[in-house]
Amino acid sequence: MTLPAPASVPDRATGVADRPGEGVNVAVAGIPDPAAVTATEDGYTGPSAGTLGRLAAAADAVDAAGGVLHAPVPDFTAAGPWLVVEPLDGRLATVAKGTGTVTVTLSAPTGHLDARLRGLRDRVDAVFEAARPTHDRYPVDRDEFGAFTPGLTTTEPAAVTVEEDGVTVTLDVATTPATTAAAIRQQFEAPAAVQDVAVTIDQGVERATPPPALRDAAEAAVAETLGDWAYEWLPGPSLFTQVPGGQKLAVGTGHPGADTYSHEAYRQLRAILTATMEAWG
Amino acid sequence: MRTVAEPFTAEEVRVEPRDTPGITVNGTPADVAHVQKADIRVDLADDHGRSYVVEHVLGPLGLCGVTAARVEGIREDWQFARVEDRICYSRGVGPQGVVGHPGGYPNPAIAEGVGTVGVETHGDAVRHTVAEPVTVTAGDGSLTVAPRERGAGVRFEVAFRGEELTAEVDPAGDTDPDLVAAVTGSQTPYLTEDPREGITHSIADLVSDVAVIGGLEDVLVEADLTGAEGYHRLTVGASRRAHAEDLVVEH
Repeated sequence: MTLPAPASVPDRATGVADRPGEGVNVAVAGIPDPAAVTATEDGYTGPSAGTLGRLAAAADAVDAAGGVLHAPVPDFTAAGPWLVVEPLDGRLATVAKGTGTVTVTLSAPTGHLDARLRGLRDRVDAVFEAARPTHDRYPVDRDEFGAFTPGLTTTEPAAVTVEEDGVTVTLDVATTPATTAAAIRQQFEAPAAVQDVAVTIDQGVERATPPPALRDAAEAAVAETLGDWAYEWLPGPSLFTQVPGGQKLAVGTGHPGADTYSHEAYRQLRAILTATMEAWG
Repeated sequence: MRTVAEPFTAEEVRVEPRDTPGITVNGTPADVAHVQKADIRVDLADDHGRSYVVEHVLGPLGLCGVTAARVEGIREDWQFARVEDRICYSRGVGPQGVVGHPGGYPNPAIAEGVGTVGVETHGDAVRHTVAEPVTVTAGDGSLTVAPRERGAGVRFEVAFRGEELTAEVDPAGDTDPDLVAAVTGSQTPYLTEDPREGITHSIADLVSDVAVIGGLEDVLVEADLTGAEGYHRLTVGASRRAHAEDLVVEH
């Protein structure tokens, strides 16, 4: 089973979405421009290869098994539970990490220009070093497969502001249910030039509670297709968090941020969604 | 069968006597029929739910000669760095399903607990071997389980990441205490960078998957675990094949 021609996917998806339907709602991340996606021997390539490939799989599954495809824009007032299609490498998700901001204020470097530049670099490096996740048991610094860090409080640099009287480093924070503002403050307080650490938690961790029958159907479908089911946390705000309420479950193939999407990923997602919706009824 | 004489608590699990053969983890029998996952870890599942990283429990029990016990997870605190904890949280269940040691050890407190409370033997000792050699491969790894005479126990001849190790384990509990201590004190090769520690740890996984889950008491296990891309595919795989092909025999 191979992916359809990219140019055919939007019309096909729109046609399925426009049809009256009932059952589970299927949310996809819009309809990307197919001109930006190239069909290759292995599948799709291009910045929105995954989005278009997952849309193709979702349209096929809804066409085959029923349900309501929400494309290009979800109708969040629709009744019933949601299957949210996300790049999850074949895993399921009910949890999205929360968001926040940490603002680290440091003293201004002094001296001649070279000294001030060196001091600036040292201050920013010290904050970035403090931002690296650590764990007393697990080698999170060599977590090449992402086994540990999805469950840790993590930060990403957002801005560095240099002014006459000081330096401010702002980082976006991804929170877990165990995250506390006090722990984040402590993490960034150590560098000598730090004068203040301000933490804001904007959005807490979201945990959905999909209907058990839908969850069971999805687990069985993933196990049938991939050999076993597993869950992972979504790294932050996404289509999943836009769907209101807790009656939702995310599922999908393809890697986040990847610019390729394979025929196999398409076949797997199509099979998973179809089997899930058939079992759900 | 051999069960623990009294209940005891061993960090994240409670171990209790059982009056019928076999080990259960959170109510699920530890046998090939109930293995849900076998690659980088072993999970058991049935209507009771899913238990994760069971080899860290079954290995020490098997090393200590326990063939009947009820194991219950008792954890209450989350450790979200563990993928298994994130799965449980995602499904809205508690962390009790994750029975593996948080440090990646074949739970040494279980071996200590068995040593403290002792083991009771009930009934005749039924022992099993294979009728003929069973070989499985996974990735670049391979494992063969071959017959041994009654009472010989399990002999492991293992190669892993450039190291070699031979170990004799008596499923009736008469295993060298130094071996038990070395194995339960060795961290999983997925965490340690010391290849000697990794291969020593693998003995617990082999005991778990071949002797306990596979129910094989008298066998020779020759294994090259290197390149297996999750060596429980080999260890559980051999047990599965032996049972699926009706090669497990009482003797």
